[in-house]
Amino acid sequence: MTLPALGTRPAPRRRTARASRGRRLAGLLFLLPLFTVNILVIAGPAVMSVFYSFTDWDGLNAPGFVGLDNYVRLAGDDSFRTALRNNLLWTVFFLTVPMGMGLLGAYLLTRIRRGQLLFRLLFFVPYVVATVVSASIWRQLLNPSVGIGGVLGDFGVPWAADINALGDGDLALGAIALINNWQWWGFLMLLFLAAMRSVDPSLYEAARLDGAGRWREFWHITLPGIRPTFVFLFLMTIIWSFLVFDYVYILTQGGPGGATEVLSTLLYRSAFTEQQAGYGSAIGVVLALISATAVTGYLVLRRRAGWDV
Amino acid sequence: MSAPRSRPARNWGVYGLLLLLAAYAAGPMLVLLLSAVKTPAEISANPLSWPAELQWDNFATAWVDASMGTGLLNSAVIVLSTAGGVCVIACCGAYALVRLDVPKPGVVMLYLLVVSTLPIQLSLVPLLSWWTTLGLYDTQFGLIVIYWALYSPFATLLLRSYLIAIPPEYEAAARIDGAGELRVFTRIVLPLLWPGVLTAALVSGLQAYNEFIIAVTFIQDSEALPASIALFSFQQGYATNYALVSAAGSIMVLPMLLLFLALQRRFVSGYTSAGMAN
Amino acid sequence: MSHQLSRRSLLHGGAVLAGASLLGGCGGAGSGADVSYWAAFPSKPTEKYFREHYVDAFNKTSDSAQVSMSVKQLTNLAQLTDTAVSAGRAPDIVYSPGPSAVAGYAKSFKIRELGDYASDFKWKDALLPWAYQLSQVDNKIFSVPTSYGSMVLYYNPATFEKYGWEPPTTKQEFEDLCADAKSEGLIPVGAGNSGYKAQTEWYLTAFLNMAVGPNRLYEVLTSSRDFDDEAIVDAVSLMKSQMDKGWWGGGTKDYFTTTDPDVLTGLAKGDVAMYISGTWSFGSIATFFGKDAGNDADWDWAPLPSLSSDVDPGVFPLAIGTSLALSADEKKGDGAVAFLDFLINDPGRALGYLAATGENPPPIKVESGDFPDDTDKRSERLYNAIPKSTNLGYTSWTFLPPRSNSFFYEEFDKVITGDLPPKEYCSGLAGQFTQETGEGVVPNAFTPEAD
Repeated sequence: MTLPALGTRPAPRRRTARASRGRRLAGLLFLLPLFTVNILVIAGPAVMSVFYSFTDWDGLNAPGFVGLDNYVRLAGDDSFRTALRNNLLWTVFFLTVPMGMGLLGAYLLTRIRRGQLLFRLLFFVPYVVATVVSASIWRQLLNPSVGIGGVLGDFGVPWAADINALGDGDLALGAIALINNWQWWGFLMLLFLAAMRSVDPSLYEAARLDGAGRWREFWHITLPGIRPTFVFLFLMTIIWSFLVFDYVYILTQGGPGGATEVLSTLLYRSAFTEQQAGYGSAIGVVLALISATAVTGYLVLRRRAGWDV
Repeated sequence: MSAPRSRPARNWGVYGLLLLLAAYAAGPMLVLLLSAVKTPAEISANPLSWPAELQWDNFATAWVDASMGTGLLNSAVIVLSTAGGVCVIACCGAYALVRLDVPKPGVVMLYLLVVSTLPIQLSLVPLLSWWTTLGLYDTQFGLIVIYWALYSPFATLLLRSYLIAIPPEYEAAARIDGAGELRVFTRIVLPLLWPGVLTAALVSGLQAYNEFIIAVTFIQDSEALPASIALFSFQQGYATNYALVSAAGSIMVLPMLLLFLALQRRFVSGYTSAGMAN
Repeated sequence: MSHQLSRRSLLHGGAVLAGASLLGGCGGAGSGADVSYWAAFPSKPTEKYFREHYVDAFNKTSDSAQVSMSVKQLTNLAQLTDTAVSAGRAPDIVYSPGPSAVAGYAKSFKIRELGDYASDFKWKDALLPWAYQLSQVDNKIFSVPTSYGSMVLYYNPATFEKYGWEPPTTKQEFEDLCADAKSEGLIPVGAGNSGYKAQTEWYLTAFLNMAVGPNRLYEVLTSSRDFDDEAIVDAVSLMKSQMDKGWWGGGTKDYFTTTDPDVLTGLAKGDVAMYISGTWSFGSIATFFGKDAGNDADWDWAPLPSLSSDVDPGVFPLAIGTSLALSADEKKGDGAVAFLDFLINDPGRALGYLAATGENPPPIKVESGDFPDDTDKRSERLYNAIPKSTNLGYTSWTFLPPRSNSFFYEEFDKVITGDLPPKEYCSGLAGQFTQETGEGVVPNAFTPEAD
């Protein structure tokens, strides 16, 4: 890598081999900053974590090698199984509800002229609010005696006042997901909107000349037009769903009685509260492996099926 | 500005749905503003009620007690540096992936996706000791580098997805005219990619703005801490004064809202205007 | 270094993009002759008082070392310290939320033994005997306790007067009061763990001390009995049955969404009859009662009742809120230790802090005459009563090692939801505790004096 400026030099048309070598070098140079910080901050420590996952490290004393013990223990850990199930449910929810709402919001916004700015602002504002703050708002709203349920109860919907979503093991995870969705879907909306703006307008004109309805227009022009963004957000949603931490930690810390435990809260508890950094690392490694497998699986399928993204 | 022109104003359904979504988004925001001017006891008793007396003092108390002035200035440095750095890193990366001859771009993409799956909680301890060795511990720059690394994979992949949608013909023309890669990138690609770049900047800036776990772990000098930490300074024994949190939270929303509004127009330009310029 | 200056010029210049911030990055706090110390406070006024009367006052008298305090949050101070210690970047004075974390640091040589200093400064004479004993790991002093407290029963005198109640002392009285309060539409005992999950251990700890008693708990903590001892299983089952009746926190679902402020608000409004909680609330409880809260409610405390004929009423389960130690990497030992001594060596200063902020004092010997006149009478009553009492009990967060402690409240939540039978809970806890006893990280429990 001794040719810093080569890639930016004009490529003479005649010597194509040299030109392509130049573009290859330019490509590597353009990727350099990305990889430098990434390896330093993320990949490096991750390698350490893989090492720690084979030890009994407690965060303080020197780690001792224990082989696969942590992974064996993980396989028999009920909390781990609950957490994994919750992460899967979370993934399903976030692949459907916020994605759907984001697409709908973005599409509707492309269809109007008046009030566009206002709506965009309103949809996006929740994303600006810090997690701690939105968690505190929703904790109040979901309070059975004084929140929404309480008000509905006073207006003749008595069963609404009996729902204590965050305190009920069967409902708590759904409640946290709804709260997270409130903040999240506007963000997806914005990304979809930016992508929809990049769709060639002449395609719409053509469709309109063909007399296509709104639905067909959306299905045949908008969706294919934003497919790269859509697929990318689909993959990121899977990844993020396995990493979810903030809302669960702030709202229930995995409770009641472990009902909303997810992998990252379990990791956090093991590594920090219970001082089992080795075991925590093993959870982290498995977490990353699962979502990496899902993503790779998708990419392989895509190549097999010949999809063009 | 394309779709509605030729359609008659049969948009009641559209507006109805939009209003419904807006109510969902804005309702809790109103509760936030209301909580910011109540007493903690009033919030506990009824979060939806109008306060007996508007507690404007909450804003002043929150501002002073959590040193939000210093915090917001620090946040400005951190957020702008994060957003700027992430955009530079991600633009270069995305451009290389889509338009330059990178060996096995699929593998690079896969790498970026896979590193996104790693939980940050795992990295805290090794990172802390490395940062100490490198002299980056307890500095804002050290924190900013971490944010660059954390937020650039997503931004790169996001920009990549926007870049794919832009037809390569424009650049091909420029390249045939003998323009270098950097020139092609800044003159041709960047204007087309601008909405995407702004989105990436906004997203990474916002994440940095609201992030606190890494900030409190890596910065000990209270004069250098960002504003997000303010939300954690209203302790009341083992609980938190939610009136002050709401006040501080509202104050924190404001600058980002203004920034978002200021950037609005830029979002609108994009394909169309750049296309016309060509 | 150029830290401050370059950051300021950077802000003024407004050129705050990536490259420019490189300048802002160099340098950092913690260098120079400072003794770094991380602390957290329940409120801003408390923080101001501490800074003025401890940090600034110490720095004025000291010419060898200057303490530089950075303020964290109560909820993250312990974890931040843990991370920093793990990464070899601990502050000079290492915080621990009690002796249980100290043992881990001491065993891994992250903190220094303080034996010589302890005899120089005569800490054995200054500290209460049980606290001195607790500061030892393998019979050597490693830390200094700087605050202690207990669990008490909070109540609203007006509510009690209205229904003609007296603070209960026996199981019968407690149960009668609960049943009565329930039928009057009150929550008998306020409880909940929303916002801070470990609150569960406050209630369970109090319950075990009331229903099992210090003598038996001591036997369990010193491994001559196990945690699945019949008495403990019975106590856990009794608590579960009381929770099922809605006595604690108004039922299991509400339990998980009720916060500490909710309970204190309820107590002030007369919706909650009693609250069994720690004396750390003395410092922040004024937010909910009287002038500050916009009501005319008042609060008082009573010693815990007994829930078994084998236990004397009025047990005080003891808790060390903060233990401070010296980092093993620390270079200015004398100055740093002088600050530790400054925190505990003067009863007048400690009680002045208590009077001004309600903060729990260090476990030191005090005389009734030492209390300033403006001390809250309720605080004074407590800190006169505890040193005189022989009925002293054990709190889980002070006397259990880390993993057992986490199990203690995490898994008890499953008992509350009905997912884990009390007997299985106790045997799980016993297993965890036995394991950690083997590792030698169990804090040094004091010998009970009660008969």
